[in-house]
Amino acid sequence: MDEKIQKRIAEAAHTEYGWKLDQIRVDELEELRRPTCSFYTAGNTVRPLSYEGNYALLPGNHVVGIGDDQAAAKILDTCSEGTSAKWWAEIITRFTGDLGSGLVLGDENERPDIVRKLADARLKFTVPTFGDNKRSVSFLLLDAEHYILYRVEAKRAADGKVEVAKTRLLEGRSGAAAADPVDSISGMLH
Amino acid sequence: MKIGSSADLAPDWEGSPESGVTQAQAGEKLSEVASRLGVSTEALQEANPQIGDPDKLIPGSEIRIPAAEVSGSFRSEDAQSTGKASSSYMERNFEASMMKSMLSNSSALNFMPPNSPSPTGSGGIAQMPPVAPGVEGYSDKENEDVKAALHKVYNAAEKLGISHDDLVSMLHTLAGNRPVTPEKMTSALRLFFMAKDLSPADRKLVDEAFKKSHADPDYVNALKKLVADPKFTNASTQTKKDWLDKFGNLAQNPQLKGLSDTQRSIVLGALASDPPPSADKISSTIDVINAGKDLAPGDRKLYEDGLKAAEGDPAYAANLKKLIADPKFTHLKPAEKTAVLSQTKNYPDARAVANIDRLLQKGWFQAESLDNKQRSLKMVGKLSTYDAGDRGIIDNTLDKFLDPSSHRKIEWKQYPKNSTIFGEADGNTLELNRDKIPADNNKLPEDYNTKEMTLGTVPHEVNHNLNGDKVSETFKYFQAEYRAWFVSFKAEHGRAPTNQEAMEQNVGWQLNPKSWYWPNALKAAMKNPKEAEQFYRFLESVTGQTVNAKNWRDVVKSDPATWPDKGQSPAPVPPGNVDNH
Repeated sequence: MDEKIQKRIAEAAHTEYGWKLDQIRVDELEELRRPTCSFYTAGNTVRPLSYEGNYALLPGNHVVGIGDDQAAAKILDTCSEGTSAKWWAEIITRFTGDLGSGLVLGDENERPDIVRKLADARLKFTVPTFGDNKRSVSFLLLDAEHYILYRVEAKRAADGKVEVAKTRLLEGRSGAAAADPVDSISGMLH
Repeated sequence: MKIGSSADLAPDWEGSPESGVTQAQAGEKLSEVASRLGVSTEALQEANPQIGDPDKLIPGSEIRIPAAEVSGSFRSEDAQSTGKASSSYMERNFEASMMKSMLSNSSALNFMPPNSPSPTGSGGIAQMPPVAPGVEGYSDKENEDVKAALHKVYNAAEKLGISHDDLVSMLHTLAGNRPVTPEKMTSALRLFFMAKDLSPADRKLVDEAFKKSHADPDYVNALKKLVADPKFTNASTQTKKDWLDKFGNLAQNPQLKGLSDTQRSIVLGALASDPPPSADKISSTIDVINAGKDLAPGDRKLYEDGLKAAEGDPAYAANLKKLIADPKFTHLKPAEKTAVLSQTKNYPDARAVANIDRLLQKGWFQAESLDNKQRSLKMVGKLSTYDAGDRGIIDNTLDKFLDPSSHRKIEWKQYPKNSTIFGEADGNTLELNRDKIPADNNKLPEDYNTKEMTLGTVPHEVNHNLNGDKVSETFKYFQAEYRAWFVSFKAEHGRAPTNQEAMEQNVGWQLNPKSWYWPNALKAAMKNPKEAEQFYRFLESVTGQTVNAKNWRDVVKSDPATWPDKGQSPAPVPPGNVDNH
């Protein structure tokens, strides 16, 4: 990786997360690379963290991260020509608020356990799919650390913004306390 | 159907002045009732699903007579045509019988017009006025409202398994103490739900006390608390009667006069927590209430609301009284005092108050801005009172920030907006994402962010910190992440994860090429065969399968249903500090 790029991404992570520059590891996401754009993750080499920062280097040496509300829109505007629905799903996941760090499920072999659980719930596994003349995309997203599966529907609004809606399909953790029997029927009293 | 007057009721009662319900006589079986009524036992049983044992009827219990057997009692086409009592018919039949009973039994109801003077001078129910004029004293709307309310209680009580006899009595008392508010309904249902497993004799005592309560929610809630207390359930019948009598007489107690509704409720809750009621106990509770007299009016309300919500818990009252006298509290700014008392009210639990008091002693908390104080307060309140998880881990975690000798602190950090990060440990500082916890005086919402922050991130990061974990390309670091996850899982669920849960929620993700953990795990496994062997042995302990360099990826993806234990055995306990002590 070009040292200058590495430094630029590390500086962006330093600014956003406050990490020390010499404790930042930058890796390129080669599978997302486009002729005019490249993509990177930044992680901390010392702190045991359950997240990493995502950054895109756009034409004009312009770096965007999730802190930029329009990051996903800027990337799609600049580098999405000829890309797949899976690529869109990755960009939207990595550069849109409320999604951030999940695993886009691209094929059935990636997480067989999820495919099994979907079948148990009488739900169907679907690969990332375009809609609305490539102005929207839907895909399955796994929040792997918390084992929550979402269906994500993302679309480009008329003004170019990326609008995202997610629906919870499966949840591994419960954690719900037993309901008070009277509370559970209290709605009947109003 | 309107019940505004006797005349309005006539159509529904037409032809059935005495029919619809009968009462079981002593020693009578359902078959004998059927014989007495000239109906089939099966039809009678079907119309009375509340009867558990048809050979052991409770003397005096009401038995509904099925539709086809009650000539002309209802003009229900479905019931008459099928000869069976439909559920809607049964419901109407029950209502009809109840209303009839209300209207014919002047000792059971107090259908007094609004604002009419009480014959007992205290809104009592001992002497009933003629019922019909009383009913007429209400508007049709008011009567319709009562009818609708009683219907709701009836439906709810059935779902809660409250017996027919208790239900009838409850409805009578509610109907006699208008308005029938949701609060009255809920408190009555709670009381009778709590009492449903008591002996018939004890239930009768509870029912009598309920009648004396005039269905006042404060009294009824206190009664419920009393009835739920083992001291009550283990007491002799005479003692129970004595306690309930004393409770019933509290309405006339001069010490309670002049108290606000909230203050009266506090006293009742305290008395229910420590029966029997006595003048000394009332005085000491009033002393606790008065300890808040120097607070600002809004804060005093929060203080009293907290005491009320704690239902008289003496430990809560003592802790709260101590807290508001603490210089660390009295020196707070007004808005900060409100923030503190909001959370002692939102989490009305002695543990929460004690921990909030410990929080006040910490310099890092005192140095926080108001909004961050609000975040810290509500998180401590939540963690102090979460009982579905492992209290040992949670208490140990709280101690790490609240113990007087601890140097650890919480810092609410501004992460990039839209970030999904919850927090991270930086030395002795736990940095938490301020955007995940709202800065206000409300209780923490019961949502994803709250759960992840309080039960996921906090115990997880503290565990890393306590174990001195550092990122490295080793199996040891993989195991450190597994341990921190293991601890937070137990903190949330109160049990160890299963092998399946471990694979799905942590191990599989750490070994997924797309996770941020992956480079560390992969490099560890690739650079050193000894490291790789540790991964394989660990995977074997989780999956029960033989694991090697060729198959480990497949093993990670394998269906737990194919594992020897189906994935249901407890997951391996990781080495190191696993309870955040």
